[in-house]
Amino acid sequence: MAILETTDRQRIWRGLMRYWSNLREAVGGSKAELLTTINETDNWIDAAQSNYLNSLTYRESYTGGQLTLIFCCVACMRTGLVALLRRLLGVEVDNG
Amino acid sequence: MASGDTLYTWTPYANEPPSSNYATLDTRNLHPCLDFDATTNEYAIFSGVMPQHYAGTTGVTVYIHYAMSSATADTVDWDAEFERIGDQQLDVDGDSFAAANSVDNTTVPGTSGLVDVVSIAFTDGADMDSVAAGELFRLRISRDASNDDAAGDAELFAVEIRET
Repeated sequence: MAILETTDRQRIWRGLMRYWSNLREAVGGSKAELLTTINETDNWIDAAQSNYLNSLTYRESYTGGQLTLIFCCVACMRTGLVALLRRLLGVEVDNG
Repeated sequence: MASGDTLYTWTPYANEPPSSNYATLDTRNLHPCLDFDATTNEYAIFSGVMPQHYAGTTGVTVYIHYAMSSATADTVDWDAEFERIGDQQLDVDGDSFAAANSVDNTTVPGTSGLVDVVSIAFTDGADMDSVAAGELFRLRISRDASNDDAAGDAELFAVEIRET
């Protein structure tokens, strides 16, 4: 899977700024720094995806989309983005 | 009228938005505000009749009261433009704003939600499209998102015009 097109990276860029603006969440970085961070994240995913997939014992059991969702959900839970995860998965994320 | 005296104030509900690229009406803790995007230059337009007490000598200064939705660092740029409608001066079927004056590279407040005030001076005459006392005019405010670097929306809470 290749890196994202510039326009797709910019869609994420605009979307994140809109998301944080709506939440009124403090953001310390500039527009340019955010875009650079998105670019570097995409580059890292591109470079690291083989290692990630090779580390999964049951990777053949899931589609690429499902593996991506697993990755995102685990990352969200690890970093405390439970509200975002709840919007994606529902109240199951609140049950112990 | 003395220098520094208020000629006009507008709040977000007075906005007469353009048909496209308009600042979006929003509220923050029930304070009305106009959201200016971080990546697209957006506009708000306010109209009024220049008060009779405008001396027409030293020009006016436009004060922009804004906060940032999320940015706590970096800078924001604002532009302002006058359009004289006057007494048989302008066919309002078209727009005729004079060149913009700007306040650029203003470091935003370190706390999102703190309202900062910046100002843009206009000399009397062509700089403010020759608007004179008693004449209908419009003032267009925009965020120069193409050139500033603060992330996220800028929120406009009020605009004031004072005699310079």
